[in-house]
Amino acid sequence: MAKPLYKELGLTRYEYERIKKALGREPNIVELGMFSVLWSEHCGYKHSRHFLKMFPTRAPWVIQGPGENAGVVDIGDGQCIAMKMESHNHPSAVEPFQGAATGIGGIVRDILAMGTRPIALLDSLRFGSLNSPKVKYLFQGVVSGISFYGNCLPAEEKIVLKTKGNMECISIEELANRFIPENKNVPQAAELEDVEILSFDLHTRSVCWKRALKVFRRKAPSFVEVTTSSGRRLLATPDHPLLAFRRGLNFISCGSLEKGDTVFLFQDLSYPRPTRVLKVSSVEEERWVFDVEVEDTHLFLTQAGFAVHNCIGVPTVAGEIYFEDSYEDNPLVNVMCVGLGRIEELQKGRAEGIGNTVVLVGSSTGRDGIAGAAFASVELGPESESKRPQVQIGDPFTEKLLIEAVLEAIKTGAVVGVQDMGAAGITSSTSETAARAGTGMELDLDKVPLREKGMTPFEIMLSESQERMLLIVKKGEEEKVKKVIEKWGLNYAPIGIVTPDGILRVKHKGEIVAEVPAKLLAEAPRYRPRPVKPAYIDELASFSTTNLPEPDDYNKVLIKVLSSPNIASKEWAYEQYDHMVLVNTVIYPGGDAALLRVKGTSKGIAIKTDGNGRYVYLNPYRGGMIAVAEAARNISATGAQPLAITDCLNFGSPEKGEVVWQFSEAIRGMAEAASYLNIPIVSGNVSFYNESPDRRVFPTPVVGMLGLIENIDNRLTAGFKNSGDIVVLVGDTFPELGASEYLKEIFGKVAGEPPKVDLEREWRANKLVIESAKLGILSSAHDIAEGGLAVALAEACMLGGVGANIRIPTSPIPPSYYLFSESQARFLLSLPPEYLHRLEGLAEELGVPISIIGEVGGNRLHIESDRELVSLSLQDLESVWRYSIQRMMES
Amino acid sequence: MGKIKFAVVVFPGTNCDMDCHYVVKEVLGEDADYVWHTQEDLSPYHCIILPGGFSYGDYLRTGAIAKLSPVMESVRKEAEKGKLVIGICNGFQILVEAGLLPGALLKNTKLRFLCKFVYLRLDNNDTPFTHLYKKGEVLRMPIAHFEGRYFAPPEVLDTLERNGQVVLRYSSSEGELVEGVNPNGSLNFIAGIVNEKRNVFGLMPHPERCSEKILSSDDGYRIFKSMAEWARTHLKEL
Repeated sequence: MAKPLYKELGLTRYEYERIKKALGREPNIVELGMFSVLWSEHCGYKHSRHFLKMFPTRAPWVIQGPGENAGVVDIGDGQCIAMKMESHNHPSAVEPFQGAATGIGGIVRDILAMGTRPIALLDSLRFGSLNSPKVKYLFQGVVSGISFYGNCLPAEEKIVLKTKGNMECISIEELANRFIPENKNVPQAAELEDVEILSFDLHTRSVCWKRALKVFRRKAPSFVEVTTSSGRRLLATPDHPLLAFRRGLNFISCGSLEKGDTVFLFQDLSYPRPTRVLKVSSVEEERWVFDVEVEDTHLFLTQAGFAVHNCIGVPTVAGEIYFEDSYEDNPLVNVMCVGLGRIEELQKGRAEGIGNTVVLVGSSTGRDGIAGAAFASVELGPESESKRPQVQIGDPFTEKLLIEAVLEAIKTGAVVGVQDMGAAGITSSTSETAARAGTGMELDLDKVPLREKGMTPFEIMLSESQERMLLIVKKGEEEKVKKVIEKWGLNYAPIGIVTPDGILRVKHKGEIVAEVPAKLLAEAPRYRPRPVKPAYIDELASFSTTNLPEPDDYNKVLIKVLSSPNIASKEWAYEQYDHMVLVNTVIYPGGDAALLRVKGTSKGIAIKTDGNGRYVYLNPYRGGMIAVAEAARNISATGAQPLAITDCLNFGSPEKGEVVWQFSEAIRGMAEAASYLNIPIVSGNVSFYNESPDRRVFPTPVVGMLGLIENIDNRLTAGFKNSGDIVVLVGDTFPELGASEYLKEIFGKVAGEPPKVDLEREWRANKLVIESAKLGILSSAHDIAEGGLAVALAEACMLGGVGANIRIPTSPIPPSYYLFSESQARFLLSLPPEYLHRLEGLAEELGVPISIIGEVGGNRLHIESDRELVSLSLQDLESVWRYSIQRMMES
Repeated sequence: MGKIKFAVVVFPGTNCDMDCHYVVKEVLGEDADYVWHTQEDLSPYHCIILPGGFSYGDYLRTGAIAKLSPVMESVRKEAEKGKLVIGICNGFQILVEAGLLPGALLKNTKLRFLCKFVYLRLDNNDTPFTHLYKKGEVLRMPIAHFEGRYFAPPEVLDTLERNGQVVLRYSSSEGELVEGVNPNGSLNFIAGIVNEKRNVFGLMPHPERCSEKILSSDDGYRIFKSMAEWARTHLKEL
């Protein structure tokens, strides 16, 4: 028996009955579709809202807490910072590149919706072991996806054309849809009228406009996937000719390509590059394919190759990457965005003012991503691969235009509300803005600019086409906004008006196709499933880490830990993102936190994401606390005062008691730390269902934190600076190797208890660093985290380009414990000897234990107790730490 | 003469426009206007900046569409009159596409986008853009591009070298042209060139990202300063 429609759409019987009762009738298909996305976990927070109430959300400097597009914090001088983090986990597992790219697009629009200019992005990524080929593919895909939105990679084959003098860039499918009549199920060709297409002239070897004559659409039963050594993957029909080198230069068909062949790809259009074929595999899948016939030449140009730069002009300034087997099937891709604005120009996502106009701006609406929000709320299974169409296609070029257009439109004073159109597109943006303001809306879907012909009201309401925003514009002042939006070459479409009755009424071709209370849509049912403590917790916690043997060779052990991809430099990834555009970035990626100046002031903001899933897996409560505490230490290590948190909570299925227990415990830990340290949580996102049939991800709450430094000249960085400086360890070291990187790398164990947390000690240690930074007595400050003191020392040496001579106590803690323990509330500082007494005085006042452990100098890291333990040159350290990820990716 | 007037050309997709504008106005203290790509008259400016970005989405070869836009005709006209034109990163690509500078910029040999600081050797200080530097001086500037591998046929390269048109080369911190210092595979380590008349300059590194000490290098500042000073002594009041 076929499943009932509501089930197909992901609603439960209970939810269906509830809708029926509230409406007093059977919902129609459009309405059911609307409920299915807004009542999905992704939009409705059905299983999490109850627990999220534990979070502290207020402080005198918080202007906007959770519930809006983003949280907002006052940073003085009438300026404010908007911040928000979001996940794009599921799409990235299926189609890494586009998934990651849309992740950035969506979060940027959330910040824009607050009326602030996006000034920085941070990526928090979690992958399986880098030894797995699939993980490498996903990692490469996600990184270049971000650098595409960052840097423009090809999405679909797009072509550039001119019609009636207008230039545009659209997908070849879109071109076909414009000219081919509606029946989609037959192969067709259509004549093109007044279309010129950008082409490549083989004789003159230059780009030119050529008249396009015909467009074709046919079905191909199978494809060949060619992977080349330049990292390009081509999907083509077996008969598609490729220029190849085999007994001279010839065109040969894709189907007859073999591994090792040299093909020439028009990646650089002017100079086709030779590249070797690594793999040829056939794909038995029926799909539509398209072609265009061009006057004189067949070489029309597609949006080719990998293009340059940070397209949206927002730098990616920081982030972190962890590798752990649990993420193999389900990588985590979280992106945080930060915006800067003026308090008096802040916007809200509210549909205020009866009679005001509801305007859709940005791209046209297509069929992409339909029911993507519902897709994000189911576990990944074998059928996920067939879900590729549910991943939206991102276009950074339009996104950048949208940023400028919306910010300029807000300046006209005619805009009263702004909302991102992300998950569940028109449905969510209209119902959320109306529900927040207690109003209703009447929408006319005939006014929505469509990319494809014949879209149904269901499809229009649920489309997740990217680069769209909803504006609520003052009645009578529409022209001002229209002028601005159209100047930027974007659609301005008045699609409805704000009404007083609280009803979202949708019309299509003169008929009402949906009529639902906006509040009902916005208020998904809440569930409070019973938490069940998983059996593994006690079992793994009982693993004893007290009697681990001391290593024979400490040099070898340190090298091994430094080469772990969790510890090694992530330069390979962040070099592929533009982290400098906007010229605000003062501390570049690779330090504890990124630091951005606020132009025109002496202020700076520090930002950082953090979250060790392994700690949370082994003890969710403690792990939750550490996520907050460590992010705070990262911020303090730059000299900034932590101010606020945005978070992204990545967990398995909330319908399982064990996950609920992990979730509630982690939240309890985070809430406790955030309250104690007085760092409110102002926005966030929950991502459930991060599991496949074989595996569930480590519960991974990621904390994105913002800090403020009043005088940016007092900033601190992690690298040692001057020979002769004293090296100081702040905080106590306990023999805590449970859950550590050392235990995993050297003993192959993920077990034991994560380090203890004492929030009072955390608070005091942070205070010590922030106050000493203000006094200007420190040369460097570095948080001690994964890999312990030994890794922190090695990093401080490498980042500073100078060595250090360190002496550690011989007892009571054995050297390997002292060096690799991940005890909390610790920092590594260096300072000139003449300032030591001032630091000591301050430490005593604050009751923070400090120890002098050596001095900066030379070009080796030298560590001894009663004998020499470690002696490695900077070069030895660098060659593993800096290049280990690059080597793994390029092998 | 009063303040020197800079035009910062904005194509759809340009994203370093604000940074260039900021450096000229706030750091250098001269005048700067944003100029939309549809503008047909650039005569009211002494200096023209084509900033970095991804003009027209780089949907084709980078810079290939931008060269067709109306503003490029006026850039050409002003260059012919002897005004100063500087193209940074994507701006360099546009100048090359438009034929104002010779050669081509191809994808980096590693086929990856690269954003990092590099060392550059200044090989010609006898240009309006570099007269405040010493010849042979080593500079530290960031690059951020996917397509920065300078390419030209041998005869063009010969001409460039003979005429001293190669202004900047990737180098070691000591100014040596050795293995490992060329981030993108550019021929002859080329990072920046001028035209024969020396009034059109294209470079891949971003001087606007290193014009203040707080950004960890201010080695780019003197490029803008050189332009302003040269314009003040050599160009007419507008």
